[in-house]
Amino acid sequence: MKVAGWIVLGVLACASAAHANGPDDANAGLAALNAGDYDRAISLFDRALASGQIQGDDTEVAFACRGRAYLKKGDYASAIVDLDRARRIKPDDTDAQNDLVAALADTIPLSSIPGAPRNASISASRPAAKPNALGGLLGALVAGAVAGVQQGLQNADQDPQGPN
Amino acid sequence: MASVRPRCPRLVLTGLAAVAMAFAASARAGGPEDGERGLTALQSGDYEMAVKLFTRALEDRRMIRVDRALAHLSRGKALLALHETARAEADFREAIALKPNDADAIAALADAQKPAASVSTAVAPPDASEQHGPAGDPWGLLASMAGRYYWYEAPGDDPNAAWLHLEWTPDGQAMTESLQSRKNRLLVGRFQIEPRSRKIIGAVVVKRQALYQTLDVGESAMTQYGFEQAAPVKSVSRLQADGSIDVNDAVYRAGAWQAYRHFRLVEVSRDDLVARGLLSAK
Repeated sequence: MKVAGWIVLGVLACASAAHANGPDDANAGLAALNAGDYDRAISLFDRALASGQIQGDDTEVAFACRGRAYLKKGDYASAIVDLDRARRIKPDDTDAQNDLVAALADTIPLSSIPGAPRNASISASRPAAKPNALGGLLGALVAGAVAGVQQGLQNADQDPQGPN
Repeated sequence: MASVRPRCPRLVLTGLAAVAMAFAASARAGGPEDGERGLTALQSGDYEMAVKLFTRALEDRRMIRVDRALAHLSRGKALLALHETARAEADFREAIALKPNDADAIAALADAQKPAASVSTAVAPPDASEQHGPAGDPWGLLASMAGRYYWYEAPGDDPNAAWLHLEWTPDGQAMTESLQSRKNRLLVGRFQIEPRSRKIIGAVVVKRQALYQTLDVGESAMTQYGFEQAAPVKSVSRLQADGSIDVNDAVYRAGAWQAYRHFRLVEVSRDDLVARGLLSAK
C-alpha cells in the first residue's frame, strides 16, 4: 500500500510539475501527516480541499487526514469538525471513527457525566469485548435503544448498579 | 491526549483519475464545477458552502436544464438542513418545474411541507425553575426536552418500565440525561456544545461502555450519529404533534443506512412518577 502510494505520488508530481494542485497537495499532506509534520499536513489539506479538485471518497480521506493532524496536535475542536465531516461522507471509515471517538472522549471526559463509572471503557468502531454486552444499545439521548434497554430491564435484578 | 494510531497511508487520488484531474481541473470555476463542488459540500455536511456553490452554479448560463433542476434540489436540501424551510420549498418547486417527474424533488417538497410540530404549542412549558439553559439554537429539540420526563416505549415492552429525563447542568452550558427503570439506572449521558462548530456532541454510558456521538439538532427533529460494535449507527428523533417523540434507529451496512428499530418517548409528569413510587417527592 505504501509503495503504491509513493508511485502514484511520483506520477502526480510529473503530471503537474509547473503548479501545485489539489491532488498534489493532498498527497503531500498525507506524506507530511505520516512524517509527523502536522502543521504542514494541515496546511496542505487546507489547500487541497479549497481547490475543489478532489471529490467523493477522496474528500473524505482529506477531511479524515486533516482531522487526524488536528487530533495529534491536540486541537480537538478542529479535529471533531473534520472527522464529523469525514463520517458524513463515508460512515464506515474505521480509522476516522476511532479518531473521532478519541477527540470526543478528550472533550467529554467521563468524570463530567453524573453517575458514570470512571472505569468505563470507550466503545468506538472496534467490536465490543463481549459482543452482546450492549445488547445493541445505540446509546443516545433518546436513542437509548430498544434492545439494550430491554436487556437492562430483563437483567434488573442481576445488575443493580445499572450503567455503573 | 488520546493516543492515535498511525493512519495507514492511503491514496488521496488514485491512478488515471488523479492524473486526469491534475491536467483538467486547474483553476476553473463555473456552473458545472460549482455544482460538483456543491454536491461534495452537501455530502460532507457543509451546508452553508453548499448553498453558496449551488447559488453560483445557478448563475452560470452553461448549466443545462437537468443540471439546474439538480442544483435547485440540492440547494433546497442544504437549506432544509439549515432550517430555512421557505427557501428550501422554493428550490424544490423550481426543481419540479424544471423536471416535473423528479421523484426526489417531489418527495423533498412533501417532506419540507410536513407541518413541523411546534414546541411551544405542542408541549407545555417546563417549570420556570428548570428553564435555565441556553434555549433555542443550537440546542433546538434538546432544549425543549430539558426538565421533562418521558416514558420509554419500546414495541412489545411494558410502556411504563423505564423513563428518560434530561436536565441542564447547573451552569446551563450542558445537559445531562438518564434513563432509568424501577431498579436500575440504565443509561447516563451528557451533551454539550462543541465550541468551534457550535454543534452538539454527546457521550452516554451504558453497561460500563462509553459511547460518543455527534448530533444535528433542529427545532423539532434531530439526528444522532455514533458507532456501536464496529458499525456506524444513527438515530433520528422527531417531535410529534401530541408532544411525543418518535425515534428511528438505523445502522450503516453494505454502503447504506438500514432501519432496525423504533421506539417512542411519551411525556409523563414528575408527579405521576412520584405517585407511582418511581421518584421521591423531594
